[in-house]
Amino acid sequence: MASIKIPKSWQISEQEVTPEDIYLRRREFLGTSLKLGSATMAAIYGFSPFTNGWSAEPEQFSPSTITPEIIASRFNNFYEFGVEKQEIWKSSRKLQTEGWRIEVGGLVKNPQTLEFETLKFPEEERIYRLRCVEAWSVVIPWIGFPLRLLIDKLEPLASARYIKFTTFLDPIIAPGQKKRFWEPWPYTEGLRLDEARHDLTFMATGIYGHPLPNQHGAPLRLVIPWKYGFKSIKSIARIEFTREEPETFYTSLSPLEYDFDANVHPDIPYARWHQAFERIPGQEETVKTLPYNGYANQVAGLYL
Amino acid sequence: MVLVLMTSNVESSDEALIPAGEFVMGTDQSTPAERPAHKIWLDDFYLDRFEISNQNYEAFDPNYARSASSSCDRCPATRVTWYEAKAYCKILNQRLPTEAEWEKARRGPQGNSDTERDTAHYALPVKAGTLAVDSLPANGYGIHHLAGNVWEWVNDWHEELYYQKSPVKNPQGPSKGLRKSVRGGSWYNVGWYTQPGMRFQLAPHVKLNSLGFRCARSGQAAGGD
Repeated sequence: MASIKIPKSWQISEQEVTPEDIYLRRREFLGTSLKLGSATMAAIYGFSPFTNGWSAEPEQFSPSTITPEIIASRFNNFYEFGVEKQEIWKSSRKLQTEGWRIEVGGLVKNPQTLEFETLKFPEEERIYRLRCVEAWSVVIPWIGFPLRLLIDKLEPLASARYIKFTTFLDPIIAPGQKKRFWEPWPYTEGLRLDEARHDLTFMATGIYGHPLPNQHGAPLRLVIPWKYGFKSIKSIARIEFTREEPETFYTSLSPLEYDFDANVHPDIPYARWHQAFERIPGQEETVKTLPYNGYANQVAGLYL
Repeated sequence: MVLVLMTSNVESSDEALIPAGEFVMGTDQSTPAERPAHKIWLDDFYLDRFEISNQNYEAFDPNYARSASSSCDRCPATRVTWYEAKAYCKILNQRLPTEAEWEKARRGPQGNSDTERDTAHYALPVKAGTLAVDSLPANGYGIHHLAGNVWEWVNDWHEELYYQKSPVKNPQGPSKGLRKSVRGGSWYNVGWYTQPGMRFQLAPHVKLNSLGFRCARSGQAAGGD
């Protein structure tokens, strides 16, 4: 029986990011990997509108264009492995993700340790804008599942109102955790439970059609497209349900600069950056930042 | 900054004697900075049993401002540079401990004790702050809070691979450098940072809410300070 896929309101269409002739030829490339979507292939094989080949049209250049993987994978914030964005893809290689475990605790029916490899949820690809608090942005095709599915499996208690995430602690392989010893490692982040259950809130296990490489937060990371990028914690090693708003890395370290919500808002300077405009890595011009990073229709109701 | 010296009001320190002898410094289970574990001989020395408190430090510098996360009289003095810490110790005819002295004291009489970590003050929210310098039980040498509460300045310049060429007797650290070694972990950091052999580094002019110090004095074998 044929099924009709009704696109959701937040979806960036694949035609929007890839020239039509290329889009129609995607089957040639999909033969190389059944798991890859066309947008992903565009980025991998270099026929995205950012590149000169493959009949890219200048008018296709827009902030909703997928960022080529070669850019997104070489421009990363992951302070555990250093402060040079262009070096993280190399310095993060020491992180061992085989046998990765995720502790689950706090206000939950069954505190337990999950084996990452045993997490089985229907996976999907989502193309999201990611807006860094440093006033730059990328558009990324993620693979993963809605966080809500994992929360439902874990069965938080009725008293739980927040969810806290913690990444790994290993200063021996993560030099940033040793050099910046005064900071509250390991990195932590958190969400209200209603934010965490929102359809847009995504647990990514892959990117550009393949498993997450370390610089993107292997093997499992959060992606929350309407909040500044630091909320999308990488390499999650612990999940905890709490009654009170959890202290996070940045609300602890610099409470006057960072708040717990961290929603993208062009009219409110945040941390040490203006937030009205954003730079696209690999491009000269800047573009206007949108409220909630362009997802206001989907999430503004959370904050009424 | 101009330090106003009021020596008549500075309290004398309560010191513990660490007897002369050998101990194993460093660990093979960490980064190159802590490797290799190696035997060091130290002459006897005295080390303050307590971190320098706000009350202590205010007698030395009336302009000193307590940090909100360490505000009680007996809470450790924080937001003090290495230079200020050194000057404080000097006024008491003491000095900052060498990195080797600090680690020997931290490891305790058995040489490899980390039981102090079980009860240390660490891994707490930012609102928790420090404890009074005599709050928790002392280690085997009678010294409090070498693990946790606040990071502590030591005298040595920090050199990442210093242990590969360090003298085996009374090492004093490199003769020059850009950063000073810092030890011990703090209330703000998780337990990993309190481990006895872990070395950290910081520019000497930096002040942190989680960083304090204590003083030391050479013993009889070294002829005092």
